[in-house]
Amino acid sequence: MTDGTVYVIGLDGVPPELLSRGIEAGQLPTFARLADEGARGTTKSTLPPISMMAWSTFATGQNPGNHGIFNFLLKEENGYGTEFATADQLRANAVPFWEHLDVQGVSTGVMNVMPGYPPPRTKGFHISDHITTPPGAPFAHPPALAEEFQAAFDEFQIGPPTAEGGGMDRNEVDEYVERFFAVERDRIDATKALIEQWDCRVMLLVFSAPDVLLHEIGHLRDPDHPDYRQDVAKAHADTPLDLLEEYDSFLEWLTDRMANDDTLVVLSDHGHGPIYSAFNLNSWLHQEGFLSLKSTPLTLLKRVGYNHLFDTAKKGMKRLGLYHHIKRRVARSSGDGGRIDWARLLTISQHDIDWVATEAFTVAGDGQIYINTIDHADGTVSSAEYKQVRDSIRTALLELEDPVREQSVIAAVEDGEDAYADGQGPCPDLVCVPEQGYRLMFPQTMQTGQVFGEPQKPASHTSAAERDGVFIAWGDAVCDIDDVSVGLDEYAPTIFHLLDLPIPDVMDGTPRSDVFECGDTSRESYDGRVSVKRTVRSVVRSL
Amino acid sequence: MVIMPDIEISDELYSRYERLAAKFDDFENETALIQYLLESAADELERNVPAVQSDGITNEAVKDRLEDLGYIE
Repeated sequence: MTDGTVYVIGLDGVPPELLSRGIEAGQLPTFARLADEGARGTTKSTLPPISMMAWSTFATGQNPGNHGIFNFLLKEENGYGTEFATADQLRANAVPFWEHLDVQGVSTGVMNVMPGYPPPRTKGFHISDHITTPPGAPFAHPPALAEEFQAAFDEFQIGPPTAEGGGMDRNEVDEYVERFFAVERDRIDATKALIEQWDCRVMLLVFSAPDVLLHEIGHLRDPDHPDYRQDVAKAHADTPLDLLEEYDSFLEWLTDRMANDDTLVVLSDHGHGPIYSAFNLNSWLHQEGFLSLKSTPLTLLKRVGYNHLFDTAKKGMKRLGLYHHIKRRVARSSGDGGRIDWARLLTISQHDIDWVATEAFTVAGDGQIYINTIDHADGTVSSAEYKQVRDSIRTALLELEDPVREQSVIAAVEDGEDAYADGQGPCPDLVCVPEQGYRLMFPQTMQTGQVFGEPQKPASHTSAAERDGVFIAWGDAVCDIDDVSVGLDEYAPTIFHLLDLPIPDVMDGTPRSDVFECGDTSRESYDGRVSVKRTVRSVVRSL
Repeated sequence: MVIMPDIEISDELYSRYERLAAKFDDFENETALIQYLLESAADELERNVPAVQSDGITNEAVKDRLEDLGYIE
């Protein structure tokens, strides 16, 4: 237990092997010292290991089946519609741990934990995340904090820049990396300012930059990758390690100013690895007869177009540098109130699915399959048929071979109720775990004749091999222990345990008293106090 | 502790707080609930922090970012 501050530093997407390589090469002396003097191991991520689900699990101490954030795109219950995950949705289903601390009068500083928009009004500060915050929206609570940041840091951005469809030749990557590091150094300075200015008992500060950078150039360490370019790799294969050096300096600064009774935890929510090929699950379900498309002239026309003309047109548009722009314009025309919904007209999407003849479908990437059970508006699968449909899909997926790479594509298929214990609401029925090097994609248009395709990004985190993240803990309250594996739902109860506060009884995870010296491990309900706080804030806000 | 005899609440309102307190495990009784409510309201009013006027999530912006990161193709 500690009377000091608990600092939790999240480095989104950093794979343990990248950190180990940097430590072994002597590039990361602070990480090396923390690991040597404290506890070290891995963080066990969610299934699939994607940030929206992972950080929601971290924030609530709950299994995804209980917090309900299964993906970036969430399916409506008993329906086919989808919406993007937001902080409001997470709060509707569950209670992030900073709200539990708030009712105990404990202030927290939270930065960039997704889904973070809109930022909550809990005691302390809260800065929303780069995925759910609309451009120009008020990203901080209290609101004055955003103004201070914009005044103090000319280039301050809520998240790191992506390459935005830019090319990957040497000059383009040089330019991108330079811009990327300028933004991130500014963000690190802003983080230091937060730590200096705010007296919070728990500081939860997440850097999303490692994940973004690895998506863009993580493949440059893999000479066998189809997108590997020797000249670019020569200059940038170690750029992700250069980024870790920035955090190493930041951690040196932080540990120098930490008091004896403070505790530091460094984690990543998942790992990262190169992607060689993408697999379109909806196209495969269609080819196998589990998903049917309508027979309207428009859908039939689109099928012909996508299966016979699209690849040539795409190549031409890419050569002219127009593909990214046109694709985005088409996607944006959906529901924008314009005269023509080009997305509906030109893409094969949910609108083209013949639900009354469909048994299974996906609504997002990364392998979660829903069975079209009869509790859906146009459901077809009865309770008696459910097991047989699930087993048929599982068997077919596990037997599937990639004809080009001559290997299996799917390593495992888990039942939703096993992956998400006590799964409530629109819980996926099956969760596919791809082999390393594959990503299970969800394209905005479905090429029915093509189940394999080029991945959108050359690196990602999707297989079991990328499920492990980093874990390091340091401070007087930390036991000297190596090779521990900490579940994402164990962090929140462990923070209460460290602060000697009763653990909220809704949390699924258990406190890690093998890693941290014991505090309170009793559990109690916070439901009434959280409800009162939320109601009062809502009333005061409306005054 | 100050006793506040001038605050009158109807029997009906008091009963509602009794029922609410019974609903949640973390309040010993209706008095604990009312005290917590008053304290929370005072804290919030004293903070005097303007509310963040949050915009609705714009699906296009989220979609663009997810596409840039490779989560949507």
